[in-house]
Amino acid sequence: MNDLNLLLDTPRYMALFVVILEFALIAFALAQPRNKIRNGFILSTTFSTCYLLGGAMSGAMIRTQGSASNYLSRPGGECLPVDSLPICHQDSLDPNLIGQSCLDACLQINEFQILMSAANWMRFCFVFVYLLPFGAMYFYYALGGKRKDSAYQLIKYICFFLATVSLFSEKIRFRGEWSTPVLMFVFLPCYIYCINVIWRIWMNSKTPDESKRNGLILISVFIPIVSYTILDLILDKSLGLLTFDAFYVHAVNGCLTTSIIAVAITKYGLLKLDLERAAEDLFQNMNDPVMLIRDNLTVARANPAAQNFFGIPEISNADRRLYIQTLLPHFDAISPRFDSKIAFGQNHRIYSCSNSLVSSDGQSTGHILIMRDVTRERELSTMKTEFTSTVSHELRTPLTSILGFARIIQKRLNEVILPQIEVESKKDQRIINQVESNLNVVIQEGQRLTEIINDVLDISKMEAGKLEWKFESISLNELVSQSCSELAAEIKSKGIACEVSLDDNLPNVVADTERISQIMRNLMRNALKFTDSGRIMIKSTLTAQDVIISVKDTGIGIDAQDKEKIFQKYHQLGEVLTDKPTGTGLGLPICREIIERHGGKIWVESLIDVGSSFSFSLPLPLNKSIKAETTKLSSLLSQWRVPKQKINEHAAKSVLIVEDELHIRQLLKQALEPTGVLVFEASDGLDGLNKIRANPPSLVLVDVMMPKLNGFEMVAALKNDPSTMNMPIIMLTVVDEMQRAFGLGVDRYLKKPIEPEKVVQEVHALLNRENVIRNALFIGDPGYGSSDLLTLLQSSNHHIVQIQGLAELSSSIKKQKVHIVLVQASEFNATEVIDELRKHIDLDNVLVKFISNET
Amino acid sequence: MSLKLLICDDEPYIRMLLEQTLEDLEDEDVELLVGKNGEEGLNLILEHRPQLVFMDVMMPKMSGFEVCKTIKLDKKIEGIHIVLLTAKGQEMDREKGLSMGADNYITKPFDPDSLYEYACEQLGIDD
Repeated sequence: MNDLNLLLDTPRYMALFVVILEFALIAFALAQPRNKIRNGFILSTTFSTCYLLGGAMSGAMIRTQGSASNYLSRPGGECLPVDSLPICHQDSLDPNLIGQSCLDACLQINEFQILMSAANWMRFCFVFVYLLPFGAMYFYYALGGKRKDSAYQLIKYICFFLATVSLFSEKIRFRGEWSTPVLMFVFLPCYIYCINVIWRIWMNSKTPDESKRNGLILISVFIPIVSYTILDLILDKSLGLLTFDAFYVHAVNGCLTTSIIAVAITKYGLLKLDLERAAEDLFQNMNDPVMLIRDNLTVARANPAAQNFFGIPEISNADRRLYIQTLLPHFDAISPRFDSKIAFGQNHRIYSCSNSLVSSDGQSTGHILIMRDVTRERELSTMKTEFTSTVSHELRTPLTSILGFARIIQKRLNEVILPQIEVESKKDQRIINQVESNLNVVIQEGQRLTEIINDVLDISKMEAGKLEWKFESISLNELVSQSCSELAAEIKSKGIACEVSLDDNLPNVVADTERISQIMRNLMRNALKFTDSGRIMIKSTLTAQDVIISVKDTGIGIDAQDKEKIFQKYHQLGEVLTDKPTGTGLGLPICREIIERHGGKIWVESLIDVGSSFSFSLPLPLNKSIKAETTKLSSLLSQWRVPKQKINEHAAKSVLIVEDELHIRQLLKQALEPTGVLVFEASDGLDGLNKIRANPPSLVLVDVMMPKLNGFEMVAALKNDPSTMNMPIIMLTVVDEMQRAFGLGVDRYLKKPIEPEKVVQEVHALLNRENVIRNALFIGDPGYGSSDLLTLLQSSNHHIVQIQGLAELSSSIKKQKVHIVLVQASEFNATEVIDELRKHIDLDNVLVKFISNET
Repeated sequence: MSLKLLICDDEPYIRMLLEQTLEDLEDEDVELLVGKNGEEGLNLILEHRPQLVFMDVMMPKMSGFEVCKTIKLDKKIEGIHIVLLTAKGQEMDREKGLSMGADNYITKPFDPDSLYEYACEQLGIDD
């Protein structure tokens, strides 16, 4: 009996030991950083502890009361404990005595049974309760798992299904001999699979933290398994119930449920871990310095690249004393996102990009600062510029001498020397002719060399983005006719006709005059080169979005496969050895580069022996439509009568900066003030307008993106008012808005990010521009334009031309640029007037107002 | 008042070229002055006050820009027409040139005949 008691105590102590261990595990998990893995782990451990407790409780009860199945039932409802049978043996005992203990035993059995089933139910409930969410999680993860092959998925689903079934099997109680083999062959593989997964995951853990974590999970799987197994073994042995199927059911059941939970947590955690690991790898291995900055501007983390760059040691999370400004004095964290070039040290330049970090619950957790050392790039860029300018100078200087002297020699030869020579023989005459033609060759080749140098430098500058483009509103008609007249002599000398048939009043486009002329000359020269007889025609086509100019010739044409090649650098048509093409082969690539910079296209259509047609398109500026609305004279006068202060010519020039970002305003102010201009600031479009009206500055610097009234709206308002129409405006914008800016009549645009030196340069360039007189055109009765209006306009630098009717337009305007047109509304039809105006005047940036005399 | 023309370039052959191009002007009583660098050019301008100056931009001691700016900023000196000669590859805009105060600029290589004609025009000589 003593041995038995001792043996019966062991499960209790075992269970107690396991429970304590589990609590220890929970405590350990609580100490880990808060994350889902740790929370899941605690949850599963807690539940498995409860499961154990339930088992322990029932075990304890079994110890005291014996297993229910150990009781025999006797007829009449009495039950007797098995081991008390000798006492209850009918032969030897007093019936009364037996009955009493049996009765007692039976009473206790009932209570026990209740308690037993309660414990079982507790076990059941807990298992069910925790299986469901974690099982669901696992199931969910299985659906979204990385491995898409269906076999893998199928196995996972089956395991889950079986796990659920196994849970219920304890209650369902399969009957018959086949239950054991079924359980064995079905559940065992699932069990092995789960263990395998966890094992593999553990073997794959890369960091010590992960090993720890995965090890913990494994332990949390094994402890219950071991404990259940041992517990069940001992319990059942002590109760004489060691059966094969019971062992497996319990073991497998316990294993499976816990395994599934463990796998689910691990996989979920690992997914997150994989992402974290990937991010961490990136952070550690990036070439660019990256730093994480807290809200208080101290550095939280710096990757190895940043440590190298700044020469700082590794920063731990506990280190809260390193302020970003000690590393980057010019760091400005006012804007949550900004790109800027920061100076660092004497010669370094860093390009940085900063973004604020926000956690998933919307809390700001600091900034991430990604930098790139662009010192080398800048050096290279400077070197390239220096190279091109040195090369150009070095090449051109001797060339100047060669060409120049050759020409002088030619001149002297023709004017002085040759007239003095008396040619005596035919041979001598031949020699003289030879000398003359040789000299021509020298000059010609010298010119060709100049072209080559120009082309090479052009294209290298364009590619480096170093070419200075001067975009302005230009008239294509003028440009084309100018190019034609330049090349007229060359064309004529080859006996070819040149026809220009452009639409009469092509709208102006925003382009670089010099470059477009270059294109025209290039195309026409090409046409000339490849045409021996016939003509060259220049045509225009107008579409909704652009103007297309075509240069057609009746030359030898271009093969279909060569059409794309000719736009390649250094490619010349024809066999190099036999045809000896002239030129650099850079003309068309340069044209393409130029056109693409303007936002247009260039292409060729050609037929062999018939001719070719080279066309290029230039986009039309976004014109503001001329509104044909009537304004009252009185309201016009009051609108325009702004109390203007005559700007003292000798006073310092003033600049108004209209920009909503404080640090940009400060930057510009700091850049401009030392150069001798007064700087005023406005923080949005509306504020800007008010300040301009109150105190007109000499120049306005305006940003596009601003609250209340944006840059474009503000400029439109300024241009609508004659007193401010003249005012030079520099717009700070992004490239896409360039067309729109010019369409409005902005004088210069500067791209962001802003370079202060450039701004200063442009500001001064515009400030030094002379005051241009603007032309105002009155159409209508002389009387209607009141003297007030006239005075107003004249005082704001307007020259006034008055005509009675549209018929006089052609004679009076003479292709001058008109800035304001005032029309007597009562006499003229708005649409007619505008159409007629368009024919004679370029209506870009023209203010047209129809005035009525009504009050 | 006698007419004076200053040529200023650090390259000897360019100086020679300019001299030869413009030497016919000597028949018209124009005095040709020659400078070898910026500093010399400036001194010659201050001393002789030529009406027309052809000056290279890239020169040692003082660049053509600086000389131009110095002369133009000096209110006491007037009536000097300065033409800057430049190789096209340099980052010189019309704007920059004008902001320095130059009256015109010519790119190299230049056409000697056009240069002569321009000089005649500026000095008021019929050709």
